[in-house]
This record gives sequence, C-alpha cells and structure tokens, in this order.
Amino acid sequence: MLNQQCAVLTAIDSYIEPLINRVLSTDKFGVCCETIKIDSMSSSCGSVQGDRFKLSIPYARQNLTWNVFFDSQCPEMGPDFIFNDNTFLADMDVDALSTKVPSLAKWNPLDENALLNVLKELLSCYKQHQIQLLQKQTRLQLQYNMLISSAEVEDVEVILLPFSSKPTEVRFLISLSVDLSQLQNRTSKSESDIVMLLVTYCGVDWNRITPQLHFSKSLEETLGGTGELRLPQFPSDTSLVQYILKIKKYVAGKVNSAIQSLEKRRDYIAAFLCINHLCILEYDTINCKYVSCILCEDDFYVVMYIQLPLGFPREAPIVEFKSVYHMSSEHVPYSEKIKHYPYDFKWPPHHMIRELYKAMYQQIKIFKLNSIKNCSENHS
Amino acid sequence: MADSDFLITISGPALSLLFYENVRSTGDQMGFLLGETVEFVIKSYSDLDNQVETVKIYNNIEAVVTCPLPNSLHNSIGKINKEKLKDFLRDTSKQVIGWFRFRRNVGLIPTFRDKLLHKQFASHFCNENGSKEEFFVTCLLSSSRSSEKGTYKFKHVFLRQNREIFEPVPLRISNLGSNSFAQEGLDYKPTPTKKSSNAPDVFTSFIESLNLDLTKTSAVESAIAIQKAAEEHLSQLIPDLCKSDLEVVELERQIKEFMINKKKKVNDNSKKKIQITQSYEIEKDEYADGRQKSGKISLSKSESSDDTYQEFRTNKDHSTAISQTMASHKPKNSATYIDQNKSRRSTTNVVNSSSQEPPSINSISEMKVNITENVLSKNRRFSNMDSEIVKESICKGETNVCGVGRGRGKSTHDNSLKKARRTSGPESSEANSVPNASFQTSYNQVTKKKVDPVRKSDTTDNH
Repeated sequence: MLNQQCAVLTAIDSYIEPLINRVLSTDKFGVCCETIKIDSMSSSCGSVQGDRFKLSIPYARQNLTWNVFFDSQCPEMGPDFIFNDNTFLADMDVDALSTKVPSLAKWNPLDENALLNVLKELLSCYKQHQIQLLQKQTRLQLQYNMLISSAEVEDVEVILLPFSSKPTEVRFLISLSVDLSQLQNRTSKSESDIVMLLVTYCGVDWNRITPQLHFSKSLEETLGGTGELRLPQFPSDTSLVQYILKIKKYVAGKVNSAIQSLEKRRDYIAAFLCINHLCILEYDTINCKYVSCILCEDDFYVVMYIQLPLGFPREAPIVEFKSVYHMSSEHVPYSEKIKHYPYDFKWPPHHMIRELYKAMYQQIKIFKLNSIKNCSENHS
Repeated sequence: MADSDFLITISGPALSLLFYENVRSTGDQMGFLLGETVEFVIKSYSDLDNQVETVKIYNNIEAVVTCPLPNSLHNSIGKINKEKLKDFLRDTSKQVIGWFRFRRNVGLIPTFRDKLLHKQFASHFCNENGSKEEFFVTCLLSSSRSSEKGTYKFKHVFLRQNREIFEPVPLRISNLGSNSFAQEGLDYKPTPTKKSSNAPDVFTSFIESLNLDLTKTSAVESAIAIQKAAEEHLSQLIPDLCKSDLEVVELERQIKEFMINKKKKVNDNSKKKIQITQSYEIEKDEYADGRQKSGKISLSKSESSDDTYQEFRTNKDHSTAISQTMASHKPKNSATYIDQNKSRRSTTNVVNSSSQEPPSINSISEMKVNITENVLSKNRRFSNMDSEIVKESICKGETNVCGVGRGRGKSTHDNSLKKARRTSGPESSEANSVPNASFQTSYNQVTKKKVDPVRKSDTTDNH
C-alpha cells in the first residue's frame, strides 16, 4: 500500500511512541498469544520520524495487515486505517460505529492505551463482520452456533478466506478450556498458556476438514511439540462440538501423562541423588529432564549424561558417556551413546539405577578403549 | 443510465491548482471540490427513425477549497461537525460537488475514515444543493518523488460510492482544442454562458461595465482595453494584498509555533495540560482579533477581485475570439488566459468564504494564507499576462504550452524561455516548497513571490 520509493524509517514520532510501545508489548491479543508486529514505517510529511506504519495483527492464525495513518501535523487526530480486507467496514453508519469503537470516537492522545483499545475494538468488529459473513454458509453457521452455545470453548475466531470474493476456506480458531493447573513447575509465563484448535473447512459443501492442535510456546516445552501429535479423526458427519469434546479428552490425557511422567522423572532423579549423591554433576530441577554424574573405573573418569524423555518411564532413559580426556573435534568431547543396558519400566527407580550402574562399569572399559583408539586415529 | 455517462470534467488550470495546493501542504491535506453538476440530454435518431435520448451527467470542477485544520471539521472517527462545516464553507457549500484527500507516498485507496466522510459529506452537501448522492465524488490524490528527486509523480483518482463499493469515475481534462462549441459542460465557452444557479455572473457584469462595442472595435483592440483596465485594477489592489498577506503569514507562523510549543509541553509533562489549554484559549482570542482585522481587508479584496475576475473573463472572451479567427495555434494561447481566469475564480471563492465567516478560527487562519498565496500568484500571473498579450499581437505563430501541460509540468518548449518559466510557475514554487518541509515555507514563498514580479518584468522587457 505504501509507495515503494518511500524511505522506510526506523524512528517513530515521539507522540505515537508510547501508544505503539503499549501495542507491541501486549502479548495476549485475541485467541492466540502472539504479539502484533510493526513494519514499513514512513512519514506523511517528509520528516525523519514516521507517522504511518503497517501492523500485522494475529487473528485466526492469519495475519491481518492494517495500515495505520497518524498525522504528525495534527497530533490530536486519532489514527486512520486501511484494512487488508476491504469488505470490512465498507459501508458503515458513523454513529453506529462510534458506539462500537468508542476509543476512536473519543480519541485521547494522552492515554497510552488509546491505540491498543482502538485495535481491540476494531478487532472485535472484525470478528462480528466475519460471523456475519458466515451467515451465508448455513452448515457452518449451524456448527458455529452450536459451538457458541456450548460451554466447552472460551473464545472462537472465525475467518473466511479469501477476502472480498466467494470464500473457499473457513477457519475456526478455538481456544479450548483445558485444566492445566496440575502441570507443575511452570514459569510465570504459564498464565498465557493456551491450547488452540484450528479447524479448517474447505472443499465442496465444506466436506474437507483439517484439524490442527496448537500449544503456546511454554506449553509446548512441557507437553512436547504439536508436530508429532496424532489427533483423533474428524469425520465430516460429526459436529464440531463433539469433536472438540474428543480433542479435550485427548489433551487431558496428554496433560495427565505429562504430569505422571514428570513425577516419575522426579522420583528417578531423587533416587539417583540418594544413591550417587557424591558424584552428581548437575540435574534439571524444573522439568527433570536430565541428570549427569561422573564415574571412575581403574582411574579412568567419564561423565555419564542421562536424558529422561517426556515418555519416561515407558521410554527408556538415553544414556551417554562423555570423555573428560578426549575431543572428537574442536570443543566437542568424545561421546558415545550406550544403547544396551538392562531396563524395565515396571522397576522402581532405585532398581533401575542400580541395574544401570552394574552394566555401566563394563561399558566404561569399552568406552575407554574406544576413546583412546579414536583419539590416536585422529592424531595419526 | 450507463455508468460511462457519468464523467468528471476539470480544466487543466483547475487541476493544476489542485495539485499546487496539494504540494504546498507539508503533510496530508483535505478540501472540497467546487463546481456544478450538469445534465445533458442528447437526442439522436437511429436508422429506424426512433428518437433516442441519452442522458449524460458531468460534474464540472471549477475550483478547490483546502481545509487547513481538518480536526475542526471532523473527529477522529470521521464524524463531521455540520455546524463548523457550514461556517467554513458558507455560500460555497451549494457548489460543493465532491471532496479530496491528498496524502504523500501512498496508493490511492480510500481509508476507513475517508469512506465514512464520503458518506456524510455526500448526504450533507446533496441535501444542500439538491443533487443526487450517487454523483458526489471523492478525489484521492497522491504525490511521490523518485529517490534522486528527479521525477515527481502525481496520481489521482475520482471515486463515487455505488452501494457499498467505491468505483472509479473517469476524469476528462477539458481542453480548448476540439469541441469548444459542444456545450458538454466544458470550461471553455466561446461566450459567457448562464450558469445553472441564478447567482449574478460577475463576468457578464464586468464586460458590461466596460461598455465595449464589440461590433465596431476590433477584437484585438477590445482585448487590449480589457487587459489594461484589469491591469490598473490589479495594481490598485497590490498594496492592500501585500499588507494582508504579511499579516496572514505572521498569524500562521504564530499558530504553528504555538502548536509546536503545545506539542512539546504535552510531551514533556502531561500534568501541565490544563494550563496549556488555557493559554491556548488566550492565543486563540488574540488570533481571532487579528483575523477580524484582516477579515475587513479581505472583504474589500473580495469585491475587487470580482472585478478583476470580470476583466479577465472579458479578456478571455476576446482572446478566444481572436484565436478562432486567427492562426491555428491561438487557442492554446487563450487557454493560458483562461488559466489565469480560472485560478482567479477560485480565489474569489476562497476570499468570499473567508471574509464572510467569523467562527472556526483555526480554519480561517489557513484560509487567509490561501488568499495570500492565490493573490500573490495572481500578481505574478497578471504580469505574465501583460507580457503575454504583447507577445500575442506580435508573434502569432508561436507555439505555446497549453493547459494540460501546465498541470503536469510538461513544458518542453526551450525556445520560449519565458513561457516555459511561466507555465512552470506553480511547479517551481512547489518544488521549492517541498524540501522546506518546516513552517518556514510560508516565508520562503512570500519572498520568492516578491522576487517573481521582478523577474517577470524582466522578461517582459526582453520583449
């Protein structure tokens, strides 16, 4: 929308700065927990400080690009917009709009939240606009109404794509209310933790449905990435509400296993500390994902690094030896993964550790030979 | 009625005046387009002897009024303040057929607020002048320059609202060339025509006051007579204008200075806000006093400029007559006359509106600056015309740069140095004012204009 030749500026006019800072530092905007991004800053009057910019606003996992126009010549005047969806607010009555976007109608440039409030109000107008567009798609309209009337969801964002022509794709981004309070040891960020389900309808009569589950960043660390998730099937004859119930059960199961796994890992590390408290190097106190200690056999020292996978105890710990003497390449100590050692997930932790230790003293001898051999090969 | 039967017509000079106003502004600008909506019913016979009637609607733009402080006319969401709008436009509000918005370095897409404003302006003005809302137009303008500052681009589009959609309306830049007799709402008319409104035609009364007998005296002689009368009249006006110009410039400087101070103070300490607004009120009062003073001057000015207007109309008339009987290049000469004429007409509008209205203080300040500029440019152009006429009678065959070329700065005739300079008059000042982005612009322009007549008289001497 902005002219290519127009220089992109890095500074913004001082009276807009507090407004925009407030907008950019807000991380909860709509359903997904992404921040608004700014780019293509330019000036309306050839100044070095910009008063026009482009905002990318996350909505239904799409970015709405809104051009914002301030006027440095007239700082009392609120912002003007060009929306990338030109069906939005194409024909509105000014009085009706004033009640919907009061922060703009009564623009107060001294309020740092002014721009943020305007954006929030406009985004909610945008949502209403999309819901109105949905009225024409009776089948999806029904799904949406059912969804809204059920208590299963916190918030839904709807978008019909592409803009300004007959929609071929409809997306629902649903914020699921899942009890995450059981997940312990989570940092302060966890307040913005969220489980989102993105359902995309496309094809003839909206028969092709693709569900996608998304976790917020910090939740991804505890529950594992969403990439390898195997979501339950979504047959086109089931309703969205039913499917959401399924997904919620699925997520609850995932949370439960994460909680259990965390407890098991904690037990394991606790047992490890009991047994080997003298030779511990470090361990993960928050997520209990790893522990390392030093072992000695015939005056040959080696670091044992144990990684506990999220699927522990069903998945065996990954044991790795790291040499304290030899490098495999610059700055990287020689290391080997120990694949075969006695393990059964039904054993209690201290038994697991004892069995591991028994096997390890054999493995150290092999590791010693291998590392010396590897090192002499490298030097020769 | 087919869509293609709705056209916007504008004369090259009026368009260039619009661009000139745009480029003079430091940042964004908005304003109104004045003119009239004309409906033509064209009857034609088909091969089957059926009579076919086609209706064509033309929106003819005659002048522009810039709105200096838009925040006095609408709020942040774009709700217009009808009272202030009435005060601002006064009598001209019946002539408003559209509005324009100018922004630098952007595409021609109506913003959220533009759409809201269009809707409200359309219903407001169409109520006043009784035309249809669907013929109310929004003009979006934009200018940009290449990174080397070698090329200046001016883009414009006229839009009207058809249900929800804003659709572009074709623009025809009227030219004297082919169909000056076609009566299709073109600007260039061979004789004074009646306007659809009953407002007294200043042009006609001006001719009458001169008591010219066109049948006895030759066209050239009468043209010269009119020109001389106009010249005298203008030279009488100059001192007054200079005085009020300087006053306006000073007032504008004060306003800008004050705005900047206010902005600083607000930024520094928002707690002091109340005090500042108080001082702002005081400033406003002082300013209002000054405005009343200069208002008187501009009143007299408006009367006299009507006269000038007449003079030039006659002038135009005659030159057109000449051009029709004489060498083939002549029409273009007369096009330049009309340019002067046109810009003057718009000046008259501006002057009128400003002199009559007391309230909305902010807007008036800028209005006066408009007057200043226009009047100064009037002086400049006047001296142009002086030399022009001399030239006219001597060298008939010389090719001149015509109206359209003016608007776009395409004056390419190197052999006629003077003309190139004249035609690029508005542009050159634009080019100067663009880099001077700050409020010093007004000063620069004043000094420059003071220089200009000197320069022009030089060129006249060269003849």
